[in-house]
Amino acid sequence: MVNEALYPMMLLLGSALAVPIVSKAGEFINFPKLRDVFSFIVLLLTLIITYLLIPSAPLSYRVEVFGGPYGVELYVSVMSIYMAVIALIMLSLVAFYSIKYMEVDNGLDKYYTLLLTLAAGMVGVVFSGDFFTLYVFWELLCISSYALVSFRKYRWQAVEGGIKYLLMSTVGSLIALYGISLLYGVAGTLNFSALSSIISQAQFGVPDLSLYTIIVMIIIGFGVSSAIVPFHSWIPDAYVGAPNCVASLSTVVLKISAFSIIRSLMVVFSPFRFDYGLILICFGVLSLTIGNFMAIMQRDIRRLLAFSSVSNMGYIFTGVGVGSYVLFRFGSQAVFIFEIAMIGVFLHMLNHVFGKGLLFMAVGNFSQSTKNYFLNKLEGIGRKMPITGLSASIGLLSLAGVPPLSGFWSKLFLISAAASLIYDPVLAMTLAFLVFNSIFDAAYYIWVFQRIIFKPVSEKSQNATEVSSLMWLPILVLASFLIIITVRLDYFTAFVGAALKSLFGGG
Amino acid sequence: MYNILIIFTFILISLSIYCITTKKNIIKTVIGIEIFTSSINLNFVIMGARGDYVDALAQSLSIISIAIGASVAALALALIINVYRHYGRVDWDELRRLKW
Repeated sequence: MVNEALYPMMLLLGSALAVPIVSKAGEFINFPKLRDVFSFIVLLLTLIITYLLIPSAPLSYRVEVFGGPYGVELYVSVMSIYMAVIALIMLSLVAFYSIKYMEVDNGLDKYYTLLLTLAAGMVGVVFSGDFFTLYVFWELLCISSYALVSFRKYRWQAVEGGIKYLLMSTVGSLIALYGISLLYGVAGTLNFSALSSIISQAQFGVPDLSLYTIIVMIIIGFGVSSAIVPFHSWIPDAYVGAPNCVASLSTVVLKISAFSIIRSLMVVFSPFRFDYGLILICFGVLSLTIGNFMAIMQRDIRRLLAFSSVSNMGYIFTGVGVGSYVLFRFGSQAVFIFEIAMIGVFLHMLNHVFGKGLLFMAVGNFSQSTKNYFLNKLEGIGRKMPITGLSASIGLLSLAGVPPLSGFWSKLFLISAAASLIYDPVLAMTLAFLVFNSIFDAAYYIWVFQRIIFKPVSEKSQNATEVSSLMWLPILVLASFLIIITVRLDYFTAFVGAALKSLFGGG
Repeated sequence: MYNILIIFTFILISLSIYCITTKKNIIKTVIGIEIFTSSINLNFVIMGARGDYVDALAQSLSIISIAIGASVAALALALIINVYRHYGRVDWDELRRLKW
């Protein structure tokens, strides 16, 4: 009997191997898009299987050959299923979008294989219960993602963006691996729950300073892939180089790396004892401000969206930082504020994945009919392409945080968590930065919105027509998701709030 | 004994970070990354030593890490071939075309 926790990964990795065979079979029966449909169906099936795991969570699967109870482990909590479901929704929509968008390229059997291994890496990272599994699936995710970013290797932008991404992200994950090896040296195990029980012992005998070194290494290592500010310089280049559907997947990669930071830090190093909240707040505030200032100077819409991803990762890191900072400073009486901050973080992940993924696909549609990406040449195109324009405006307004839409509520959660203990100087500074940057955010998103929708149609986009339904359907689905999140916000808040308790457990 | 080896791996890692950050040639940067990977594997094996026996977890992780490092290096070299085709040189100074 195979453990249920293995089903999604077995399905994904098995069908990744099967894609070349399916591709040959499709050529044989004269239907070359068989592989596209096959990967879309596999991703959809995995999504359903992963969703059905929720009632039986928490699940764990252990390989106990390495002696004793703490071996290599998969640990499936409700929060990991939440992240995996977000990732798989985006992946299946991107697979659907690629049927039409990627048809100009050669070697699509490799593209779909990489898409499925990327999915397996994402699911594996969020399901992992120890650093060994985390690192292996992390590298699976990263390698697939490098190859996908530079997939159109005949364009110099793809090669330049891809190699910058590869070198920075590899060095980052190596720094994280060095931290993990030091952690293994001081504790003798890599399992999350075993590590947390060892480190919380009073007579552990390792000075806190060396543990802080390890914490900083883990934050920096995974932070390079989640594009926090001193390490963000790869992200605009990679987004310009990548095909637009891959760029909309990269937003998921950012969230997965942020989740692996959250999970490994919160479980292993108790926030009641270690003050890494302050480190995370510093990185978060820096990313917020610099990301926004860089975004407003860009003329290429993809670079603008890339820098706004940096600032949105800043929101997430600031939220995690505020949560763990209040736990360290005020102890268990501040658990309520911690929960508000973390609910804000996870709702913001949801909003940003769907909103930014939608915008990148919409930019792909715009470029499909006008062949350019410059903002001044895309003016008024939203009225020429009504369905894409409507969906893109919902995404832009949601990311801007215009009140009824869901982007507003997640930012409100983050701001209210920072505002609840205003007499603390760090939280007061954080609050000031959050409020300033959410206004700044809203300003340039609404500016882009009015340029794309309301300005007179520029001569470049005079002949633009709506793209085929295979390309606007996923965008419309994402826009309707954003509206569903808005309408059923109480459900999502309650779900995330209940899932937060599982974040600390097991592993 | 172990302390000396750990300091040795730290020196190797410092050298590789120096190589990654200062060299202009992309292939030399990849060599630096390879040294980094190898020294982390060495660190794992040293950390897994328990006097008269060795922890299997560290050994298996370093074997898998060697495989991962090889695949990253392969992908990096494949991209470097494409950089050479587009730019004519393999130099970080050339890779500055993406702006705005």
